[in-house]
Amino acid sequence: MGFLENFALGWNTAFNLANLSYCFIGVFIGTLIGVLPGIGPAGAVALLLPLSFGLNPTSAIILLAGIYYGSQYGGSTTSILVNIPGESSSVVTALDGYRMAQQGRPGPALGIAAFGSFIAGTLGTILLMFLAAPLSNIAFEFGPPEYAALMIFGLTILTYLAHGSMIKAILMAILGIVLSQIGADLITGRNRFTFGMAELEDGVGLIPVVMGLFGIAEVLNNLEESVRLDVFQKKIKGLFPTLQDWKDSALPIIRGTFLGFFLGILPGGGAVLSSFVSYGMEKKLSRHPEKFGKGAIEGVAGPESANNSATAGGFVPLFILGIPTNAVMALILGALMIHNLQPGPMLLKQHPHVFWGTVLSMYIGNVMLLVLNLPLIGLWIKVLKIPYRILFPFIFLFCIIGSYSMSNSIFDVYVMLIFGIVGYVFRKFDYEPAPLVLAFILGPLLENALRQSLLMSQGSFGIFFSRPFSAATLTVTFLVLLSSLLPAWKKRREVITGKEGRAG
Amino acid sequence: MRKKTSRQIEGLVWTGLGVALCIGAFRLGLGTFQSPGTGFASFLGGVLLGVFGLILTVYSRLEKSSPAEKARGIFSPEKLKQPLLALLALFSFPFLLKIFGFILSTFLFLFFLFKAMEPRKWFTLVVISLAGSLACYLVFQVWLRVSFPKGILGIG
Repeated sequence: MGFLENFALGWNTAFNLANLSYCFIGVFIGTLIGVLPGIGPAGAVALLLPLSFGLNPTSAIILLAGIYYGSQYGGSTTSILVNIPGESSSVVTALDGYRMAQQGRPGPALGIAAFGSFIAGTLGTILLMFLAAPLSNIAFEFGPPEYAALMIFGLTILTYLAHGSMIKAILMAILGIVLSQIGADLITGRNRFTFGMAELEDGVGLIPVVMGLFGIAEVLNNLEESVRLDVFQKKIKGLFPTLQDWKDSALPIIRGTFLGFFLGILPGGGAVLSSFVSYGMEKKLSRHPEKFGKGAIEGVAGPESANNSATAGGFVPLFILGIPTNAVMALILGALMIHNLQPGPMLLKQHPHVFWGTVLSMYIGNVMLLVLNLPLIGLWIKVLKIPYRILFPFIFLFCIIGSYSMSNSIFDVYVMLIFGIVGYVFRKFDYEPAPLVLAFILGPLLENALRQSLLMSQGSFGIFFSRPFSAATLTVTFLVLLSSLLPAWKKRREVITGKEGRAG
Repeated sequence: MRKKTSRQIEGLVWTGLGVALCIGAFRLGLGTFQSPGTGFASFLGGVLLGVFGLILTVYSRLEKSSPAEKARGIFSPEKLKQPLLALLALFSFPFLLKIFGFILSTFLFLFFLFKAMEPRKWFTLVVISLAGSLACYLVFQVWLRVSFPKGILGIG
């Protein structure tokens, strides 16, 4: 099918009344999650994943994708109005957005965040649409060695970009791979590390792991501090930015869009990194860098555009190669697999309605989000006023229900609670959960690709270096690892990832 | 605990885990490079865990702790009270679910957490907990048809 036929197919799929409703539910929940501190998009997608099983695959992916990009919109509201980022990707928005609110300009700050997100989200979707088909043709040439090399590269980049110690991030990734091996070996059928527990024969569930590490652990951590939100009390007026605001923001929005999209494609890149890099870039390019941190609208426009565009970029490796770039993408990959769809180049050929329907729904979702985030800002401010002590028991409850409903198993609830404690302790010792989750998802795929490669080469690791793509990928991987040891590059990495920490 | 010492211990824990994993993988059978066995990938994982655990230990010994790091504790007892109470409620919930069914156990769970985190009037807490548990029942059990244990009382 040609581009226009695919576009028409996607249009018809996305404009189906049921899919429109799921798109709306997704972006609404996404905005809500983005506004509320204490539960991120990974936790929310994990929570709704079991509930999406009853839907057809396209509707399920439209719903889950809506939560993801919707949360990027919502995250900016709390950053600007209360100086507490709803999402880690909105941390930098608080630097100038909150200052603008304090200076009596919360409207333009919210407005440019929403318009920037809308423009970037839409342009990001266009880029995704145009890049998908050519990239999928390249991906057809890939065999197990290329996939294994790509996954190793992805995990290395993720650990490189993880906040804090790279050694700790590598340990988390290895632990994720090891955990993914629990259960029956797909090739020999023998059980591994099940300790005689029948419940573990199918492996450890993704939902309990994600809910524990991202949901329970996050709330336990928050309970140590009393979260009090000093919500902006005055009525917010003038959400439309002035002409000068637009002039100042136009280039940061365009730059943020392209930067975010391409960083979104990188494993571990995603919304958080792109917003940080965009902020740094805008500050460097600005004629008035001294205004940054004191209410510069460019400091809101660039990062907010970048984080939205990155969500679209993240779908490229997921749909084209079947390789997720972050925990949310990993969950969406899980959703596709549960619906018996194998992401990769064949997805576009065999199930074009899933890909094109999801992509086209993202245009519609972006329009919905603009409507939800600007005229309904009052509603989100009311949501912000709900005290955390009322919210957190419900977050716990939703996590329990989410992990239980996956297979109506109390065992999964205990698994989630154990991972909640593990995640809580890990946070204390500065271990990030994201590399663990991504490696947990990629583990079986990597093991399979590795074993198939060795079978193909009759036991020779040379196969990874005799094929150009895998050789080049592994060389870059090695260079990335090596660069982290060099003092100059080490310093650069600390600047990129924010050594002193970032939320979430 | 000082962070530097803590990191050295962490490294040793990872190394210990790696060794245990290698032993377990060896028992499962490593196979050959031509035909990797069930324990092959786990063995590789164990080796990597052990090696990077050792690197963490050695690296922590060599680096200097900043004064801020030395002063900062990892777990402070006064901050642990609320997370521990929450964990008590969380681990009790599955037991309660089996005995009392969804509505009653959810009510008790919510009530305990509200009460434990911030003392308020009993009546207010009962109303919020009751409304919350009924809303969850309607959404999850009635609308989304999640099948929860009925409990010995046989209700919801």
